[in-house]
Amino acid sequence: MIGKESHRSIAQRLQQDAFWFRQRGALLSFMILGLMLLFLSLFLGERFVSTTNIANLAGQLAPLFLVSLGQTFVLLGAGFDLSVGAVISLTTAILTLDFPDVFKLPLAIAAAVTVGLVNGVGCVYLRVHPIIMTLATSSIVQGVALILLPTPGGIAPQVLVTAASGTLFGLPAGFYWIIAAAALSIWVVHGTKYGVRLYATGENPQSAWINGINAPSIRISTYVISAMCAAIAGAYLTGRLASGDPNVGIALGLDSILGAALGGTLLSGGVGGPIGTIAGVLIIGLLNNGLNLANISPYYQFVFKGAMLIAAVSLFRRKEAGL
Amino acid sequence: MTRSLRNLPPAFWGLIAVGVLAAFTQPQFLSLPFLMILLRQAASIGIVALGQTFVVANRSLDLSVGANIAFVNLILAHAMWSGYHPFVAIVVALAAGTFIGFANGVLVTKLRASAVVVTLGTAAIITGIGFLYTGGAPGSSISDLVKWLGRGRVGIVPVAGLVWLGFAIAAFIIMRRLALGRFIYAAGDNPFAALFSGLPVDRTLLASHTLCGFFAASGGVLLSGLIGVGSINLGADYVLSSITAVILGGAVFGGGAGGAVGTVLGTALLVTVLNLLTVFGVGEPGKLIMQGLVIAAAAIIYQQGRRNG
Repeated sequence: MIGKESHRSIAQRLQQDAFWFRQRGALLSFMILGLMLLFLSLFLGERFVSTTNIANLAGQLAPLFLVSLGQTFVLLGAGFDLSVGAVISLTTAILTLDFPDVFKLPLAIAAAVTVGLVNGVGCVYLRVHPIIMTLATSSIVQGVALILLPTPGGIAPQVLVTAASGTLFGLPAGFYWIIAAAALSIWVVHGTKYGVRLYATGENPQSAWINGINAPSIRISTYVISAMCAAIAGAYLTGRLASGDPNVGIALGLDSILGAALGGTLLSGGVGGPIGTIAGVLIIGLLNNGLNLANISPYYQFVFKGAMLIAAVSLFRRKEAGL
Repeated sequence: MTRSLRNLPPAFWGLIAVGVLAAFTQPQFLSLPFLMILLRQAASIGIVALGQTFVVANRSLDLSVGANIAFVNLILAHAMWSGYHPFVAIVVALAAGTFIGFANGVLVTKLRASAVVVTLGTAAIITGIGFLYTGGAPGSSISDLVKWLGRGRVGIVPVAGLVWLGFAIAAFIIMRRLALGRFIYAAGDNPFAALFSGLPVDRTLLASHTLCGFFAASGGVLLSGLIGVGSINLGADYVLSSITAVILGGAVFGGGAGGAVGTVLGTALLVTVLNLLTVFGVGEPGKLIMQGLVIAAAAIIYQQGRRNG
């Protein structure tokens, strides 16, 4: 007869097994990251391992961290969000409007939540394919951003400039944004009931629904989280640039998918997580940083990035081919 | 009768609505010379969208068409062709574009990775190679033969329009008259059912990606001819436009709907709407918003129809 205690230990073991099964990609990403760190510090030495370079890296990578972590939620829920880049652009446009500062931040967050809700409702209740839905909203949101702020310019709220480009205890502000975002998303995914429901929904929405999980609202919530992360990234970028740029988000939209995919998060849902994404974003950052420091043509960055993306996704074979 | 009416792509009704709107507000918009200008402009988007139709009907996607067009443009505008017959440059450019499609197909079928990520990856690689190949400078001039293809006219009809017609007929034959088309729709509708029925699912997907690469490169040749010079980042907006045209044509990731005719109508609707907006004085941001609304509306309407039907 199995006692109550051993039931619990079996459940715990199953949970641990599931955790490692889902994080198998992250393990590999961290190994690649370790090799890159070793390689870069050996070959570039002081140029790479210097406080200025690391501080610089943290400042540059913070926005990508924020959007990639948001994108990870959507991917875990078996969705896809191409609109994050446009939301970043919209946020910088709103934050540099000629408006009292007190209203701008709530307005930007409200705009992002609206975009997330529209994405979520379109994908979940109207059953439009996530790629099409978010492509459509991204086009609309980018258009709105360009109407609000036709050319780069405007003045960022002073609060954001301080929060994004100041230093605290000798570390750049971007570092704290990264730590906060990483800690919060790891806690939400691995430490709350929401995280358990998210994995269940991503793996199989029907079974999740049968087991009493409100899968539709979980899926919608992932789009809202992703849009809010994009808005925070937009706020950080606005502060760092101290002005607005309606096209600032375009490159980040695709890089967010790259960061999550390099970290072992599958695009089919339910596998991966924010821990891997941290490694994925760091790999992108170190690659760019290393190539810059080694004076290699920036054009190679495109080639390397693309090759790494394909290599990363090829490590996890799926049954089906296609989307 | 009602069933065949319902099976018409969203673009058909859209075109009628836009035509009526234009007839009442901007009659000169519907004059023959202006329509021929539209046709010349639509041809390159139209061919790229026809290529995109193969992969979308096959439940896949090609996000590298923009990079493919840019690469074709860089090849055509490169100074190394000055000593050769212009035909050679076109063949090399088309071969390169077709190879990009083939590579996408191999990666998607062999690695079993998501087509979205794979084609984003190849797009980045192609862009990088293009920059390295040209040193970041947009090449020199483009041969007269390519310019004739892009801008020339036979009588009143633009050459590009005739090329588009040729590609549309070819796409129609492939999708509705050849076994390959049957395979594409079957594999797109239900890949596993197709596989268990013994269809060559992987080779079909490889073929549709290769065709998409070839069509994108052909569209790139026409666009290069229309622009007439080498240009960095040509065709970046063609990714969105081609997908919009395909969705308006009624093909949404499998489901057996849509096809060459739908995509041609979808392209016509897209180009007409964008130009009509220009006539009404709407700028780029307004066009982006309109394009997004149109995609969302077409996709939602189509999806609701499928659930009820």
